[in-house]
Amino acid sequence: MEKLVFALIFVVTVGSAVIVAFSRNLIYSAFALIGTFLGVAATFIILQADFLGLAQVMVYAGGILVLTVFAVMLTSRIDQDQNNNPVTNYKAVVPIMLGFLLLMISVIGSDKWVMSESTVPATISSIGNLLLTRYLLPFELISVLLLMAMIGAAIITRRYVRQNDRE
Amino acid sequence: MGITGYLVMATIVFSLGIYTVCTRRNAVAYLMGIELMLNAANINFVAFAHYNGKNLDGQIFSLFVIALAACESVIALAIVLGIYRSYRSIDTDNVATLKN
Repeated sequence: MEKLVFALIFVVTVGSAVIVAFSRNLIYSAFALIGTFLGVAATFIILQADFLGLAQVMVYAGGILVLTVFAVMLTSRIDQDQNNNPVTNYKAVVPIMLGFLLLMISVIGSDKWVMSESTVPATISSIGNLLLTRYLLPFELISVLLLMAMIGAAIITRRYVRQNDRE
Repeated sequence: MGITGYLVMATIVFSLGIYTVCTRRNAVAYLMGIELMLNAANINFVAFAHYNGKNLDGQIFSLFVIALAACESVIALAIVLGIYRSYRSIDTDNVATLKN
């Protein structure tokens, strides 16, 4: 049963990642990204990381994806040409990609992984405890970073609006 | 099956991210490739944390990666919109001037 579920998730995740990588139309890539994000969230959930799965759905599928679709629709002329996602130098990249893929798969397949079943239940409360005790400093730093990103994005977009007004 | 399936899935998604970043000329498509690579790294972190079985450090790290990806995405898309306003294009071959 677990293998069947994993096979389904594998097909959804990798299939939509293939569409993201190879689609000729940028808007198809953006919408195929939903499948990848939800597939990764499902992977987290069957790995018993339920809080991370929820965070993945909220942050990626709810936030980053909406931003990306907004950027696609604001910047590229999707109604005018079908081929709005041009591809360059793929002849050089495909050997690199396939070489990396084969190297990694041979490394993964050659080793015997020592696995022990997870003994840490109730991940939300344990993650909360860890964030407020052992990882308190990175937690605070990441909140300052989020604030800086918010202010920075506002400043970057505002400057160009002012230049447009002056013209 | 164990951890191998998850590692193979993460590797495939990561290679597709490399392909997307290296071949696309559209700046938003670059960002999609970067998101693919970050997601692949997260799969690895969570899989190792699950099969390690002693602590949750991998999940915490993955949480930080998600927050960093959100920051990166916001800033990069703001820059892309700014570039589009001044160049009327986000094709990275056209945006090659450093000044004026």
